[in-house]
Amino acid sequence: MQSVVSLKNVNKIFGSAGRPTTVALKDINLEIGRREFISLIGPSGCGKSTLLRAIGDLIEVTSGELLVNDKPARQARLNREYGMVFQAPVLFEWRTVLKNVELPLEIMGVPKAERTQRGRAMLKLVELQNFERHYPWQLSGGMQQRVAIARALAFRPELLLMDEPFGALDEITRERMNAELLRIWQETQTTVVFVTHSIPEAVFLSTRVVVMSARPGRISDIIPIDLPYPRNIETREHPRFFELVTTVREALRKGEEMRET
Amino acid sequence: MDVAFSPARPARRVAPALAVILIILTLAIAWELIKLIFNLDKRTLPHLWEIAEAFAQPSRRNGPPLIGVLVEAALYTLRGALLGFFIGAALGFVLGTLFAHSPLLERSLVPYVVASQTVPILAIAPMVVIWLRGSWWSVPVIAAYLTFFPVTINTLRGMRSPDPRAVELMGSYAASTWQTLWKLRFPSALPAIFTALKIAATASVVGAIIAELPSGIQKGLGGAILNFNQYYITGPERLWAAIFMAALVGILLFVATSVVERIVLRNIVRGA
Amino acid sequence: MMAGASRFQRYAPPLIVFFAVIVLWEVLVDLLNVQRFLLPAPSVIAEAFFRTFSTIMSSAAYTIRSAVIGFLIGAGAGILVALTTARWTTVREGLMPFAIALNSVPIIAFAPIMNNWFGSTNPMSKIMIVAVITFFPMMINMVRGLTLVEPAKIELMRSYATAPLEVLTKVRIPNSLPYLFNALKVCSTLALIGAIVGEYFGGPRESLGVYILQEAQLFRFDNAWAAIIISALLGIAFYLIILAAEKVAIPWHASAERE
Repeated sequence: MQSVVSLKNVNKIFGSAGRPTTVALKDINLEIGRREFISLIGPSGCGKSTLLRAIGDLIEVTSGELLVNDKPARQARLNREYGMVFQAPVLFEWRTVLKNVELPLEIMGVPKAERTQRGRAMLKLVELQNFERHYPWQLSGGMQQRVAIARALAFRPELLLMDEPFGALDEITRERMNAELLRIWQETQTTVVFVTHSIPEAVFLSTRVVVMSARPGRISDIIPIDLPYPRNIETREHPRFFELVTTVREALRKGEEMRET
Repeated sequence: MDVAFSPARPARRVAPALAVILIILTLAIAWELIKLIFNLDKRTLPHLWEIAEAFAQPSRRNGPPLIGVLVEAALYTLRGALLGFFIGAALGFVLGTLFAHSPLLERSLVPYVVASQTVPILAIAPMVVIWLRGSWWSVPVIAAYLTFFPVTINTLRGMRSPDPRAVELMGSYAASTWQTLWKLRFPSALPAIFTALKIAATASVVGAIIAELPSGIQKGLGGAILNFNQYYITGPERLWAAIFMAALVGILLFVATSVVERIVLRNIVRGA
Repeated sequence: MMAGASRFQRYAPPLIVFFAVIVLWEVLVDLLNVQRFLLPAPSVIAEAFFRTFSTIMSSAAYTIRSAVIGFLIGAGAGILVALTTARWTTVREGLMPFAIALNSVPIIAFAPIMNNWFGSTNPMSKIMIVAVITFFPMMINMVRGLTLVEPAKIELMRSYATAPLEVLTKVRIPNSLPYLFNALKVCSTLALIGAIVGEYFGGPRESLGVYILQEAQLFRFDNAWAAIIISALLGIAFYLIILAAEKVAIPWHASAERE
């Protein structure tokens, strides 16, 4: 399996000389294959967001090797090989929904006609085709987050980095968004790295769940999720789903205990 | 009209202070360089040291040194400005609070509050002087006229700023309007009010100086500027000295307000 | 604005206040027998307004011209300085406290200097004082608008490997537009006040500031009041033009505020 993201002995230490330092990431080793859906889960401060930002070259790692598509992360960012979705939608309030989705295409110099066509296609993908002329403030939180996903997918990145994208949504909306994200993932053939706090969300979405523990932030377990596709509402009621949720929960607890001893 | 600037974030102390000194030096050098390059005469731009010297020399034959005259004038103007500042701030606070509680009052009167600022105060100053029979009170009244506006608008905004859920919380305690006002709305409005007070501090000095012009009041900085303006040809550095003094008063009142703001808000906007 | 407030509910209260004040003023001046030099009745002012309208407007034209040209120069320079310093953090952070301090200087005190530099009847003397007065609020507001950007927006642009110039045009400049219009509103009022104060220290006979003072000195207060009303109306018109431009230029902001 060819690696989309490859991390070897990656460390990230915050703080400068003479100041107390925090080891945000310690000895991270992880290979993420093409078309995988990886969730990073762990308690607050375990470095899961830091890890995601390091993959996206939004922060630099202190040591170790971090390759994206066999290139340094920085080169991958300059090549625009990944899309990013944050916890907040981060929409530009001065742009309409369609113009927000077109933003990355504009920056990448895609001609106008193609931009509009692709933007519309993306909005259709997230089922917001009737809202293209609306401004962000006219949309609900869930709809705004769907616009952000459409924007991240607009330039067809091979890699999608998502930092707790549904963290601010209510449970019902969140489950619907989960199902939608899975559909989009299957339609677009992207690789996803997804940060979350929610165990059921991680299990429902992922091919593998990466369990992290805090202080120092490291990977304590990796759990393959063997739930069959297509996954839907019934999946959430499947006995295997509950088994996997329990497995992840126990892995999280074990990670905590390891730290305490 | 929007005068709501966001509250200043706590800046790193040392670097800006150094930068300010550097900029003052740069400006002083630029001043002298411009004078040198364009070969400007004393009437256009006196040397900085000539202005400094003028402070030490008597402004009239056998009179006290100019600095004494100007400090006295500055204190005189400052008194009117301060009084106007407090009257205007109090009026603005009351109006803003009333508007925040009554949409009807807000809709009826806010357009006139905004329109009041489009009246050039210098033009109504002579009328105010006549109404008050030429007394000194025209100075604080005109200073207050410029001051009340930003305070009114920002108090209104600030009082409306609390999270609706916090208002509901007060409602769940069956808190009275007064309790909600003092325990929730007022503290939430403080950053916006201080932003307005800083603007008002400057405006009150402008108002006091302008008020002195048509009222025939000689003792203040406005009078000094008018007076030295007449002798500009023979002694331009004295007008410059008076202007520097006016600038100093404006900055002083602004800095004083900022210091009070920092003390009052130290626990509210930390880290914001 | 309150949801569901009809046009009538919106415009009726201020109009009622307006007419109530006018009627009360007229009646009180008449009843208390207030002398004309203290406060002329609205009817007297209205009469003077129509009688002197053309005279006042020809004086006002000069003042408006100085105010508008000075406004354009000052606000334009403020925008330019803010744009050029937006990229150099150190320059900006050193400059800002200084600009804020200078903004608290009563700049009108410089009006007599401008008159001496350019000559009191030269329009440049008024234009320059207006330019200086409008420069600082514009620059300070623009620097804030260009720099107070949600950090996640900058991070998003970084994820697209966006060139700095494009971050400026696609994020910082749009973000600064509400700040720009707020500054324009503040500056519109300052511009007229600046021009009129400049005229007070000496200006051509055909200017609003000189006209008002002259009429006041000659105890022709009805004329003076008419001129004051016209200058206030001009100020309001100036302000409304900017308000209208704001609605057109940043509809997303106006709508979000209404919400």
